Parts: sequence; structure tokens; C-alpha cells
Amino acid sequence: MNFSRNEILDFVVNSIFLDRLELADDGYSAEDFSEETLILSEQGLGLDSVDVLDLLVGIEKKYQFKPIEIDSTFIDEVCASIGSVIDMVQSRMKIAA
Amino acid sequence: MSDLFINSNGIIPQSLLERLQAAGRECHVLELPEHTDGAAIVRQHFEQLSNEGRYYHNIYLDLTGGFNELAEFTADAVTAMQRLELRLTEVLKALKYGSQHLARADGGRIWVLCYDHSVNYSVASPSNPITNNAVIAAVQSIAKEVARFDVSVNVFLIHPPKESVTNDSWKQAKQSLKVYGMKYKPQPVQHIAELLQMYAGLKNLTTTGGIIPVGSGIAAGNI
Amino acid sequence: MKTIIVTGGTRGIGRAIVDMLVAKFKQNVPAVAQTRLVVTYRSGVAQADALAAELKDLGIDADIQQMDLADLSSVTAFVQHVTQTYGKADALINNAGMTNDGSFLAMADADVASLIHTNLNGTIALTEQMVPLLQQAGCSSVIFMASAAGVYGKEGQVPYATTKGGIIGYSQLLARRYGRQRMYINAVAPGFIATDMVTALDPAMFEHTLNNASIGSMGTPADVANVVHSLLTPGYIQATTIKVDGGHLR
Repeated sequence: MNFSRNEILDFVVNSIFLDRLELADDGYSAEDFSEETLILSEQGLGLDSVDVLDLLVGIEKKYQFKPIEIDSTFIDEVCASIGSVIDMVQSRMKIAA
Repeated sequence: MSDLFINSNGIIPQSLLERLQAAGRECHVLELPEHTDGAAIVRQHFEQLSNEGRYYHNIYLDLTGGFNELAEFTADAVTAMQRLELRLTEVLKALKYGSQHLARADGGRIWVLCYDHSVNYSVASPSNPITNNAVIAAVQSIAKEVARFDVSVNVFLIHPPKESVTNDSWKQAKQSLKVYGMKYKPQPVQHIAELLQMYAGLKNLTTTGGIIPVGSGIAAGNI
Repeated sequence: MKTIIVTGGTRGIGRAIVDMLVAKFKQNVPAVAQTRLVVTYRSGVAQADALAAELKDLGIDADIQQMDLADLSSVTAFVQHVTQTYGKADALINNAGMTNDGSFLAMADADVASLIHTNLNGTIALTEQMVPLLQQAGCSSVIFMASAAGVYGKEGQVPYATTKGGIIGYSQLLARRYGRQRMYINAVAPGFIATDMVTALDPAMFEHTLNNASIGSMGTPADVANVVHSLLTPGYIQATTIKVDGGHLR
């Protein structure tokens, strides 16, 4: 099982941010997101740690990962930007493979 | 889908467990050791299940058995405090791991079973106002955080069943209530379990963060 | 001479309680007249010194003591001090506390544990040790600073709400044990109060909360202090939690 960065980006943006977290209702569209988009920062999406749980649980299910050890340090590091989330997903795929 | 009981020694979870099993429901029990933090056992259990891709639908956390804060604090406040700290730590971790587990399962229900401490004014039943109020506040708070994962968390605040108190104690309570029809009619444990089973069987549960009263309403000082 | 103890009394709501008591003291209000004020702080020495200086300017010689609720030996040392110095306590206002906020499912176990240990067990440990001194006063008041979060829950504050709910429960337990000894025991549950910590926030973060209160604005620390002061007069209010929340969702 392997997914390209673009495929992961597409899942995170469309399935999680726009659909699950309903950011589309706030006026966002897919073109507004890139790997550089900040997730937690107020300069970016400004999501809180509960929103981020939705993201991480969604990733677990989509890529059939074992439960991710979710804590505040992990969230701060991994969920800083979409790019850092994609890094985490790809590194876990290697472990799973 | 199956159900989990975290502690099942009390007569209410025992009765509910029997009813659920008789109805063909698969139930598991995790007994946590007394006076030690058993949350690691809960965590390990959920991890194992998640790794196998299996998930619970109803998780029961029983707080009706094994402790009586009023008696403990009256006897030895230092020991009572140590036990309280341990118990609440364990309860919060169980709620956390349980919520995480159910969030990964696309939803589910956590039910906390507590005895209404107001009944202690009338009969010799456990009085746990600290744990009750702490757990109620915890459940009301967690429910707001995990509703988005279709995880519901509720408390049953239960009047102790008929079988948990001596007949003499019920009789004395009944006799001391001289006003009109204000007499206790204690509920058999089977009847309480029937109500809890009804909630477990609901296809769509539209309450979370709820304090669900289970009792005759006479001593409902805290409902 | 009465002895009134205010824990965590050098800032926020605790400081407002001290200010209220001092104002009433100056007005010679019976409940606080002839009173020795004992105020504790955990670590803010500068704020403690500032309070001592301000009170001294007002002609009040308050007893300001360092005490850390998370440290049992510190609690015990404080109670020993009160025992040796005053031999009784007429009122204990349990205001000190802390919070760790965030998503509960991602919160570190240590952050949860420190809240239970400090807010709940620390407060209980202090109160249990103070009981003989409260009994010694003959008629006494114990007031706990709970929180609206402990009454109806608050997202982002699960363990904090748990400890405050626990405090409410403890006020009931204490009343069951000592209510017949003229010990008046109640809790106060503030909602959104304009302390320094809150007013520093971006209004966008709390506007929705204000809209959920029928009053439509934040409360002040003095609003809470007023209720605390009223509970110092013995009456028929017992084992109750008074919400000071501007009518939140009511």
C-alpha cells in the first residue's frame, strides 16, 4: 500500500477539511490548500486540538494504521502543516510495509 | 459488535450483563484491581482490540460497588483521599481510552453507573457525592468534545435496588416517612437492569452528556 | 478576634475576595469586623508583597503565607501556623486552584493528574486538617470556589471540570459530617469572569460564551466576592452551589 503526496493531500483536504470539518461552509475550496497550509496556527486554518483529532482518526481509518498515540506534543509537531501531516502518513506507511 | 463492562461486581451490572447475554449479546468484562490504578489494563485491552479491528458498541463503567466515601472519610480521611485520587484518575483514563476506542469505531456509547447519594439519608447505601459530582461534570464535559465522533457519554444516577439494602433498613425508612403516601417502594435490580438494557438496545441514541435518573423520585436530591 | 483564611488570595478572584473583606472590615460590617485576615499564595512573591503593602497602607496587618496545595507538607505547615498563631479558624475560603485546558483525548496524563492532585486532593487535604480549627470557632463557614464547568461541564476543560465537580461533592460530604456542628459549608460556581487571564484573550474566543448568558456580559471578580462575603453570615444556605454565571443558557 502506497500513496503519493498528492493523493494524501487530496484526502486530507477534501474528505477531512472540506467535508468532515465542514470548512467548505466557511468559504474554503480545495484550491485554498497546499502542503504549506498551516493547520493549528491562527495565521493558517486555526484549528483546535479537537478538530485535529478528527483529522488523525480519519487518517487512521483511511490508511488502516494501528491507533496513533495522540498527545499534545504529537499534535503540535505533526499537525503544524498539511505537509507535516503527509510526512507522518508516509513514514507510517513505510513501517506498515 | 459487543459490549464491555469495566467492573461488574455490583448487582446492577451483574443483572444487566445476564440480561444482555440472555438476549444474545456478546459481553466482555474487565475487572480492575481495587486500590491501584487499573487504567493500564483498560488501555491495553482497547489497544489489542483496535489492532484486531474489533470494537465495542456499549461500554459500561460501574461505580456502584466497592466504596462509600462518607464512611471512608469518617473513618480515615487520609486513606479516603488517596483512594479518591486513584479512583478519579482511573475513571478519567477509562473515559479517555473508551472515547478514543469508540471514536475509531465510528461511534458508540459509554454509560457510567453511579448510586444517587441522596438515598443515604434514608437507607444504608453508599454515599459518594465527590465521585458522583466529579464524574457528572466529567461526563458533561467529555460529551461535548466527542459528540462529533458519534460517541455518547451518559451517567445513570441510580437509587440502590431493593436487594442491595437490608429489609430492616427499607422498613425503617418507610416507617420514618409518615406523610401521606410518601413511602419507599424499592425497585428490584431486575427492573433497573431492564431500563438500562432498553437504553443499550436503542438504535439511535439522542442523549449525550445526560444525567439519567433511575429511581422512585422520593430522595431525588441530586437528580 | 475572628480568623478568616483566603487561599490563593493575591490575584484574580481571590484578590477580589480579599479586597471585599477589607472594604467590609473598614465599614465595620459585623461578619468581618474584628477579623484577622490570613491570605495564602503559591508562588507570586511580588503580588504577595504588593498586597501586604497595600493592606498596610490601609492600616490592616494581614497575615500572608506561602502555601502550595500540591505539596502536602506545605499544607500541613500552613495549618500548623494557623493552629499555633490563632488556635481556631472562623472561615476558610478555599479559592486556590489551577487549570490545564485542551482536548481531553490528547491531554497528557501528567496534566490530568496535577489537576486532581492540586484542585481536589489539595483542597480536601487542607480542609480536613482545618476541621479541628473550624470546630474550635464554635460557628464557622467553609466556602469552596468551584466553577460553572463543575456544574454543567465545559469542553476543553474535562479534568478541570472534574475537579470542580468533585469540590462541589466534597462540600456536600463535609456538610453531611459537620452540618450539625454549626459549620456552614457552600460552594460558589463562577462562570465567565473578567480576570486578567481572560481579558488578555482575543474577544472572538469568548463572544459566543457571553451571548449564552442572559446578562450578555462577563462578570467581575467583585461579583463573585460579593457572593462569598454573603455566605460568611450563617444562615439556612447549606451544601449548596451558587452559580455566578450571568444566567448561562437560562
